[in-house]
Amino acid sequence: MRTASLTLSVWLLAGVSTAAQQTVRDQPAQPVAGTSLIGGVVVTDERTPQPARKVRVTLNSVDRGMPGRTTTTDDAGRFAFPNLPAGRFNLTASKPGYLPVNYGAKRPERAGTPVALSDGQRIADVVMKIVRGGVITGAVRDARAQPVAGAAVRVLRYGFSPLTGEKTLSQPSAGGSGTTDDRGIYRAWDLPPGDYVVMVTPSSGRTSGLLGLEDIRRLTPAEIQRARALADPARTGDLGTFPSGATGPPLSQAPAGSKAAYAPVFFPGTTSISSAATLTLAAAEERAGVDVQIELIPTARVDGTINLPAGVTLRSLSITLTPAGAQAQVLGGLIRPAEWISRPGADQTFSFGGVTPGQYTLLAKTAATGARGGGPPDAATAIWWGMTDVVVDGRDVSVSLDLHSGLSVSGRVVLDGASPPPAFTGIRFLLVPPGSGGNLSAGPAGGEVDADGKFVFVGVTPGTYRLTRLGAFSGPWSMKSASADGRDALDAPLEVPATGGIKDLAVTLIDRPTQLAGVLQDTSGRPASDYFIIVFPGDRAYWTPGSRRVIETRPGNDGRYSVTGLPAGEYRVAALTDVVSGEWNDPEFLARLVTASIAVTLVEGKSTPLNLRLAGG
Amino acid sequence: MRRVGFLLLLAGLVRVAAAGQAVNQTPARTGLIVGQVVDASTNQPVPDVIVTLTTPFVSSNLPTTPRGRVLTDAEGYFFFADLPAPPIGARNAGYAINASKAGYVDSFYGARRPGGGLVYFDLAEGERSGAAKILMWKYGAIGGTIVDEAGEPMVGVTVRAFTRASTTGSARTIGVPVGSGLPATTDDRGIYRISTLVPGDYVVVVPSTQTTFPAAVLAAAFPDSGRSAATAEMSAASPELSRLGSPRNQQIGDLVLMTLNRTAIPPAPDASGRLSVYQTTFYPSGLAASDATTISLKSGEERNGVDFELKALRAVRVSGTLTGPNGPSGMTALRLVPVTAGEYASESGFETVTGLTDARGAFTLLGVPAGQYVLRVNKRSVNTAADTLPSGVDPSVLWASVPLVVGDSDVTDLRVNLQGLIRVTGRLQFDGQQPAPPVKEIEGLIVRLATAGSGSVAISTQLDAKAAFAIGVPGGAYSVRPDLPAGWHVKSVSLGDRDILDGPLEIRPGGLPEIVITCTSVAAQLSGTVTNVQGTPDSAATVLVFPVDRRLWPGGGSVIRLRTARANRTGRYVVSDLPPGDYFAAAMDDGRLENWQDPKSLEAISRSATRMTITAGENRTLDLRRQ
Repeated sequence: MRTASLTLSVWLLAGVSTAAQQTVRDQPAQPVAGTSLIGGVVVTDERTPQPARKVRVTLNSVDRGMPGRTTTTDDAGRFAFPNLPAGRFNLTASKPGYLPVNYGAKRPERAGTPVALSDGQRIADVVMKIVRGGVITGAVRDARAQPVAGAAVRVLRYGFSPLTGEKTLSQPSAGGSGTTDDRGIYRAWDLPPGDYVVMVTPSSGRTSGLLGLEDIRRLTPAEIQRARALADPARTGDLGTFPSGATGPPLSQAPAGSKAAYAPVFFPGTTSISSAATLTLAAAEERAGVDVQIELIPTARVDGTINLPAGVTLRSLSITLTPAGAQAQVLGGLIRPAEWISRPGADQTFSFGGVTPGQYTLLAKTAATGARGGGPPDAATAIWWGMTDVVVDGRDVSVSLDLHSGLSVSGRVVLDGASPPPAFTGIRFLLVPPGSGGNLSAGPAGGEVDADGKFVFVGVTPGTYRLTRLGAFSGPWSMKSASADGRDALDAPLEVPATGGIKDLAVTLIDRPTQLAGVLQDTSGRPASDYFIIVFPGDRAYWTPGSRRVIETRPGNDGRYSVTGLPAGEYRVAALTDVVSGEWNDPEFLARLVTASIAVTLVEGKSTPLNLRLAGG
Repeated sequence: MRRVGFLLLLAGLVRVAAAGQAVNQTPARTGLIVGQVVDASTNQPVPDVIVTLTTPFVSSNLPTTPRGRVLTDAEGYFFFADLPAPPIGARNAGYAINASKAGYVDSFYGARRPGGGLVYFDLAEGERSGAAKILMWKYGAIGGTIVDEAGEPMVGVTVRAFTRASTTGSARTIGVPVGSGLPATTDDRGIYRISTLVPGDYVVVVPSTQTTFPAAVLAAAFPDSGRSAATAEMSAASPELSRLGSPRNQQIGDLVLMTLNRTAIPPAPDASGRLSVYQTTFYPSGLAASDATTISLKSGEERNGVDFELKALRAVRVSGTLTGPNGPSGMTALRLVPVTAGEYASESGFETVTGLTDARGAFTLLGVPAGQYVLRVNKRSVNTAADTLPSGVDPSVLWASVPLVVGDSDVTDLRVNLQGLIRVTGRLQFDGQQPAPPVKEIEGLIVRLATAGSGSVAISTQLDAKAAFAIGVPGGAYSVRPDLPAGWHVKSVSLGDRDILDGPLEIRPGGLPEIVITCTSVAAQLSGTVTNVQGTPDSAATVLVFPVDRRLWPGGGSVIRLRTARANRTGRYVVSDLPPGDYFAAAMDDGRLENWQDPKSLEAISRSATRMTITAGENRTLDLRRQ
C-alpha cells in the first residue's frame, strides 16, 4: 500500500466524461435495446460453492443511459441480461438470508467494479458470490428469570453516518429488529459483519388515553398486607391512610414503594450505552446466547412552569424532553423525545411522567408559523424559546423555564466568478444539530434561498450546527466557504450565540472548482481498479467527522479516477485495498494513512494531474 | 386518625379541581379495592402485572392511593385505596380494572374468557372490598418452517393467523387477522412463530400477491432525478413501488413483476418466459380458507410443526383493455380476487394478482394460476361533470366487478367496461306517539351502506333537512345502517314492499325503489336477574337473545336480532332496542361463549332456552337461571 511518483496528466479525458454524463442525465430515460449481453452465475460463498437460485440480480447503467433491469437466477444459479446497449453497468446480487453483493466487490457493503460492455459484446461468464448474513440471537428475561414476551429488540451497529460523518449506532438490516416471542427469544439476521450493540425496550403496558399514568408503582409488602387486612369483612374500624410514596431518596434500582418503569436496556443488562457490551460479528457468524435481563428502574416526574414576559401570549408551545449527553449522541435519533404540546389559554405548566434517570435537554419552542415549503418563513413571526438541562435521578424535578424571543440566522449567497449566476430555486440550506443521527429535519425552520440569494433560519436555539444544503447549484457553481465572524461554517460547526443570533452568514460560491485526476497503476504499470482512493487534507485540523475535505473514490476498470470540487489547499492521496464505508471520518484512520500517501496541492480553477503507481509488496 | 383522614380528603379534592376534572359531586374517598391477578389455566397468582383503575366518569388522573398504575406483588395482589364511590344509577357505574402483562392477553375484572368483556366494579361509599379477582390468559403460539419446492427455507416471508370465525357466512370462513400490525416473518432458517394469539381457533396463511406494471410506467414514475412521481393509482395497485433495476421487482419483456417486501420471490420464468408463482396458501396446503386445517389453541399452548411446503404453480397471463364512459381508462388499478375470498371478513390482502393499465387502458396481469376469480376495479378519476349528475353520487368514481374463470392458457382481449356508481335513495320516517324530532336533530345524521358479509367496507352519506338521502355505490350486497336521533329506534327498513331489516340489500344497475327506514320511539327491552344453580345472583353470566327463525342466524345476515348482555356484579342484565319478533333467551357462562354464533352452538342452546314473543315497545322482565 505505497504510492508512486507523478507522471503525465490525463485530466482532459476526465473532463470529457463529466460533460457526457451531464448531457445524458438531462434526457428522459428511454428503454434501450442493443445487441450485447451480460450473463453468468451466482454461487454461495462456501468451501464448495453451490449455485444460488432465486437470487435477484440487478443491472444498472453507470451513466444512467438506460433504466435498470432485474432478473432472477434459475435453479443452476444462472442469469442473463440480453439485448443490452454498449455501456458500463453495475451488477448486484441479493437474496433474503444473504447480504447483497456488488460485482467486483471483495465483500458485502463494498463498492463494486462496473462491467464495461461494447456493442455486440457477450460477457457470459460473470461469477458473483453471495455471503450469508450474520445472526445475533438470545433471550430476554425479567428479574424473576421469567421470559419477557413482546419486548422490542434492536440490533444496532456502530458506523459512520453518511450524512454527518459522526460515529453512531444504526440498524443495519431489515432483520435487525423485532420483538421477543412468547419464550422471550429474539433473532436478528441478515447482519453484515461489524461491531454491534443490542438494545431491548420492554413494553410498559397500555398507556393510551391514560394521561399522567406513565409511572408504574411497586407496592410494599406492608402496604399489601394492610390493605388485605382492611378488606377482610371481619375487620372494622379506622382505616388510617396509605403513604403516597411520591417522593423519596435517589434509588439505585426500584425498590417496592417507588414509581418505576421499564427503560431501554443494553446487552448484557445496563441502561447506559457506555457500559453496553460491543459484540464483534464476523461474516456469516451466528452469535447465540446474547441474553438480556431487564429490570424496573425508578422514574420521576418533571414538572414545570413557563415564564413569559408580560403581555406576550402564545398560540401554542411545544415542550420536548430529549435525552442528552454521550448516550444520546451515539444513539442519534433512535430514542424519541417526549413531547408536551400546551394549548392556547392553558396555564403555562407542563408535566412529564415516567422519566427514567439520565441527562435531558428540556426545550420549549413556539412552532414556526412562516410559509411552508415555498419562500423563507416570515421573520417577523414571533418565535419564543427556552432551554435548560435537566438531570433526573429518581426524584421528581421542578423546572421554571424563562422564554426568550427567538434567534435568527440570516445570510446570503455571494458569487465569486464570472459565469452566469445559478438559479436559487429549490436550494435550501439546513442547520443540523449534532447527535441528530443524520436526521436533516432536526434543525430550525427556514433556510430556503430566495431569488436574490438571501436566506433566513428562524426559531434557532443557541448551540452548534452543521451547515448543509439540499439541492444542487446549476452551472459550474459550488460552495467555497460559509463565513460568519471570520470562521468557515463548512469546516467547523457554526456556533449560534445565545444573544443576537447571526446576521450575515456569507456563503461564497465559485465557478472555478479544483480538480484532481489520474490513473492508478499496479506495480507493472497496468491500470489497477481493485482499490479505494482516499484524498484528505494535510492539515489535521480538517480531520473532522463529515469533513468536506475528505473524499473516497474508486478508479474505473481502466484505472482512471477524478475528484472535482475540493476546496483549494494541501492534500494527501492514498490507495487502499479495502476500506469500511465512512472509516475516513476517523482521525486515527487518516493518521495511519499519512506515511503511505503522497502530497498534492489543489488550486482553484485548475486540474491537477496525479497518476499513482502501487509500489511492490 | 380521623382528623388526618379528613385533611387528606381535602388535599385530594384540591388536586382534582386543579387538574380541571369535571367532578360535580364531592364524594368521600373512603373506598378500598383489593384484588389478586390469577392465571385462569393454572390458578396460580401472576406477579408483576400492571393494573390500571379507570372509571367512565373521570377521564384521567383518578385520585387514588397510590396514584396511577400499580404492579402486582409476588402473590399477584394489588390494591387501590381512598376511592370515591362512583355515581350510582348511571349505566355501567363502577370501576374498570385492567390487567396487563407481556405474554398475556390484556384482561379486565369480570372477564371470564380471553378477550372477554369487562364487568364494572361497583363500590358503595366506604366499602372495602377484597373481591377484585382478575383472571388472565396466556397467549398461545403457532410456529413452523416454510420451505419451497426444492426444500430450501423461504426467508423473510410473512405468515398470518386469522381467527376461524362464524359471524358471517358459514362457519367455515375466516375472520379478522390476529396481530395484524405484527404479522410473523420467517427468519434466516425459514422459521416463523406467531406468539400473541388469544386462545381460540385459527387458520394460518402465507399470503402472496403478484403485481404487474408496464415497465414504461415505472420508468416514468422513477426518473433519474431520484424523486418518485408515483401516482395514487399506482399505489392502489401496489402498496410498495420500486424503480426499475431494484431487487424488489423483475422484468419480463416490457412488463415488471413487483415483489412486495416480505413475500416470496417467485422462481425465474422458464425459457419461454412462462412464470410459475406461489399462491396464497392456507395451512397445510389449501388455496382457500375452506381447505384449511383449524388449529385450536388453549391458554399458553404452543403448537409447533405448522410447516408449509410452498410450490410454485404454473401461471398464465390475463390481458385486455379497460374502458370507461369516456373511452380507454389509463393508469387504473385492477385487482383479481379469488371467488373464495368473498367469504372472508375482508378481501384485502387476498388478491391473487393486481396490476395497472397503461396509458391506453391496456393491461396484462402476470402470474395468474387456473381458478375462479372476480376482477375488480374501483377508480376515482379526475374528470368530473358534477352539474349534470344526481346529488349524493360521486360521478368521478367508476367501478367494475367481473367474474373470470382462468384455465391453463392465457386469457387475452378481455374487455372490461367501467360504470358509474348506482344511485340509491331513501328517507327516514318517524312512527309512534312521539312527534318527529326537530330538523336540527335529523339533518347531518349519517347513513351507512356496508357491504354484506364484511363490516370493513362502508359508504356513508348524510341526511338532508327532509330526512332523505342519496348515495352512490358500486353494485353488490349491502346492509343499511342509519344513525338515529336520541330516543329513536329502527322499526323496519323497506324497499318497495320488501322488508330488508334482516336481509341484505342487493344493488344492481337499473332502477331501485326508495329505501324507507321507519323509526319508532318505543323500543322493546328485556331485562332481569340471572341466578346460578344455587339460586344466588350470578355475575359470571352472559344472556344470549337470538331469533327463533333460523334463517336469521349467522349466515342470514341479521345482526340486530343476535344480542348478548353481560350480567353485572349483582346478576342484573339489560337488552334494549330489540325489534319485535319471536326470540330465544338463555343465560350462559360467559367463559364458554367463544363460538356461540356458530349455528350448531345456537341449535344446542335453543333446546334449553326460554322462548318468547317480543312485541313493539314491550318492556319485559325475564329472570334466568344460568345453564
